[in-house]
Amino acid sequence: MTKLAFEEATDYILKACEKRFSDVVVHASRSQAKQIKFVNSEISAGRIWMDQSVSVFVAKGKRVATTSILDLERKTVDGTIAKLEKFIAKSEPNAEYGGIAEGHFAYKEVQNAFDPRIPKLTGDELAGFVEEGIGAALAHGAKRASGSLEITHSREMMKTSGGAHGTQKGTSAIFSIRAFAEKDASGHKLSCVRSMQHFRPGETGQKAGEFAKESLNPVPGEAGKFDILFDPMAIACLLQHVGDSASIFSVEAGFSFLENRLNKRVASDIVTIFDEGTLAGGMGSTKFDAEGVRAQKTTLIRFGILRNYLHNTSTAKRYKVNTTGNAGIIAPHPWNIVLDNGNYDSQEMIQQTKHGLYVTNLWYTRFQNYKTGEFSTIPRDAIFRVENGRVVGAVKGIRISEKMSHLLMGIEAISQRREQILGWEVETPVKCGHVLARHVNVTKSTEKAGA
Amino acid sequence: MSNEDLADFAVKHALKLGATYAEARHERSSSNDLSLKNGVPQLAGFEDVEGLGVRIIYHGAMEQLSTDWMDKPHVQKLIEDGVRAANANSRLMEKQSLLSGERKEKAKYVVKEKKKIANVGIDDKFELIFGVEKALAKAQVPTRFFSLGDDVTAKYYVNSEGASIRSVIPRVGFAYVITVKHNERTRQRHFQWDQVGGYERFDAWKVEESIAAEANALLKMLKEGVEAPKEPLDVVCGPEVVGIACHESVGHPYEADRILGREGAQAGESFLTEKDIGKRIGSDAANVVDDPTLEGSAGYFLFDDEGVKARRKALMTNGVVTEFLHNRETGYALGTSSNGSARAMDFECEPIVRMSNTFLLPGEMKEEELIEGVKKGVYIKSFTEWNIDDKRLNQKYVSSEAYLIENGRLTKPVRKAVLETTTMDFWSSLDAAATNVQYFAGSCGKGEPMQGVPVWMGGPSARLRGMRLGI
Repeated sequence: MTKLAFEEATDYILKACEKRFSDVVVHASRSQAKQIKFVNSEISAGRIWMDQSVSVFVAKGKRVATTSILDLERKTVDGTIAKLEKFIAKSEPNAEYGGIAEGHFAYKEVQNAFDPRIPKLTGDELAGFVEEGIGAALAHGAKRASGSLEITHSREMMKTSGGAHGTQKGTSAIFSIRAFAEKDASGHKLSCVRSMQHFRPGETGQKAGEFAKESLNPVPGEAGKFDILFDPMAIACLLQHVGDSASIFSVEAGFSFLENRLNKRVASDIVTIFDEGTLAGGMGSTKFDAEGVRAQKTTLIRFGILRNYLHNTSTAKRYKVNTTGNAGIIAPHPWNIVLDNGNYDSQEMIQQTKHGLYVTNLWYTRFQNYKTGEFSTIPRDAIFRVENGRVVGAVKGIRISEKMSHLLMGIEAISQRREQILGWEVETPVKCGHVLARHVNVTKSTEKAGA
Repeated sequence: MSNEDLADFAVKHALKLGATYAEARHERSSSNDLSLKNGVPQLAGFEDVEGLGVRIIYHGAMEQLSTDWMDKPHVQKLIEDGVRAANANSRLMEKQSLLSGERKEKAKYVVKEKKKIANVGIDDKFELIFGVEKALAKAQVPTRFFSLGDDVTAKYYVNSEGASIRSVIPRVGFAYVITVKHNERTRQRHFQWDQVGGYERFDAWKVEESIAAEANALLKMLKEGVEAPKEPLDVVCGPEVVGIACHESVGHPYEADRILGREGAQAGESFLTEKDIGKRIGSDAANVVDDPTLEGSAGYFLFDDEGVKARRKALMTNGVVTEFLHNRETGYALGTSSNGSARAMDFECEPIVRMSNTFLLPGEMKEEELIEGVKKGVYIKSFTEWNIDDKRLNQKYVSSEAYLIENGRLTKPVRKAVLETTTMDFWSSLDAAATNVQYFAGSCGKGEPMQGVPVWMGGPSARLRGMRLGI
């Protein structure tokens, strides 16, 4: 029994596959992570996990297939490659497949993507961060706090039959805290970083605690049209769908409200959105995409006009454009959605709001029709009523029922200060500020007949 | 040492290092997936995954550990890291993690496949998925996305109290998203099937007939749909709508970990408190259960991921809260026992309180009789957009297929019926349930990291009196 070393696995598998297939991509990754979950201001459980796997993509002409190999025993690896060969022979061709990228790419290091301190953090230090976050939340008005702290470090190696090869390592820390002043008065904030210099569990806990305290005694909200100031955590829930909808795969599969909108207005003229593959300290940043193309910054929306879809080499050939370095070999995807900053601070934005709401978090966003962009989402945690430029109280029990295009067209102000968001409701990392959108449709549960 | 032996070793090693409790789950799964986008095959693939999940309690602190590096030195290091982490975490814990006392079950079960997954080749699967594509050839469905998948998971569970469970569960699933178009207007439908068993399940779903009927219904709504009435009316919900309501506004708020705040920063809490057993939230016709032992179901298991025997739980009986969903942790915390509701998505995840198959029990009337008893109303057969707040009080279901009810008969299609209501109003307005029980598959999300587990939700059609539709 011979086990391949992790470092030699990509070479071995690439060589073995190149004899059998026309295109091959081998991507090996190894990661370790630790998590602490806390509930009602106490640690409830910890978690440690260690993973390694080698994902393999192969093509034989237009036939394409994929697998993952976890066990690097040579016999297992050889057996999996033989199985892949039989599998692909019986598969049907993908007429849209146009190959992977050819050539050697020079990759730039992503700034602040790896911090050697993170893998060395001890259990006591991690528990200390949790204690700091909870303490700050309680000191600023919360009665209890729940959440999690998760740190990861990973190593990746990639080689392709097209000649691309690269390695990268990364670290991350995510602190998520939801503070409660009462059962229906809460605040939720995140600190998402790739290096410890930007990690702020205390500030994060403090802000969550302040939101909780300020949202005490909420009254039932009203349905109607409101100007809504979205906190970064809230608007990130919606902006991630801009990124997902910009993938050409989403457009073709019927999952996008951006279909047929290229070079047309899709947002107000103050909205500029990028996908930044190499964003310094970006939670989704990478040196290379799934076929080895260098990740890049792509303008999705510039001054409200849709400028690009996200492509890989194969889809780019079909549309006669250049790849944007966003493979997924079959489905291109965004890395970090970045909303260009505006000129305001959040207090000025409140002052600009005559009759509106300040929404600090969203929950359970679901689309009725991805093509039309009709959706609803539920404001969760602190929701503030704003009248004549001042917060006048907290509300609860409302829902935003809107269309993505209407929401984006109504954006009237964006803050200068931005935050990075990645969490339970935001699966694609988003960097954005506060956003003020006009005339947003708010609904609520109807009253029973006779009530 | 075999990889199953590693599970036994992990438990023993944890105890040797001072853990007061240890359990291990060894899992090996083989899966296959393929998809079709607008008639074009996308990426097909297979995966063989094996790993070990270990949970220990040390100094009163609980630690979930996992690895797919299946060798003794790595497992040994994992346990040692886990003990150190638990020791550090224990200083921020006033209450110790304790589990309810349960029987030491020893069992083995295998779900049978009539048409074995292992004998259905990728070429056969392409034939199945192309068959679905063909079924839509005559319908106006410009955008189509289908995915077909299967997996077989063999699991070995062992704990330091003497429980030991082996299971093999095969599963087949099919999902689609279709978009129909008429005069530049579109309408979409998402749907999925998921059952334990072999490819005989796929045959039984009659996907081709079903998807063609759905496409035609969508077009009918688009072409002929009228505005939903604004005045008070009765609503008859079809089994699909009843199922999602059972899942979202009964199953979730009854999860004891949410009631205790353990999902506070993730899936949320609950409008219910630990003192709410016996509280009335629905009418006498509201009888909702959760039952993992339902043969062939998506949420099927006979022993949960803490080795506790599964059983049917009566969540709401005649409108009254009768039982919460528990794992061993919440069972202990609330002074009761587990009712076998612990599920982990895979070996990497901790077992938390989950639903399995959640449904409304049937009444005595036929669906036609429910409708005959409505003078003015809407029948909502199926839904598209939906959501509910994180305490599970305010929910919204937007119709996919709906019809006006006028003088006891279904008449015109309704373009968009929006049921935006509270949990109390929904369940207290229910005056009768029919006999036409149907189940629908879904993936339920909870936990950190997110754990998606397969579930069924369903029941018979049900009638809600005196509602108002939303906009």
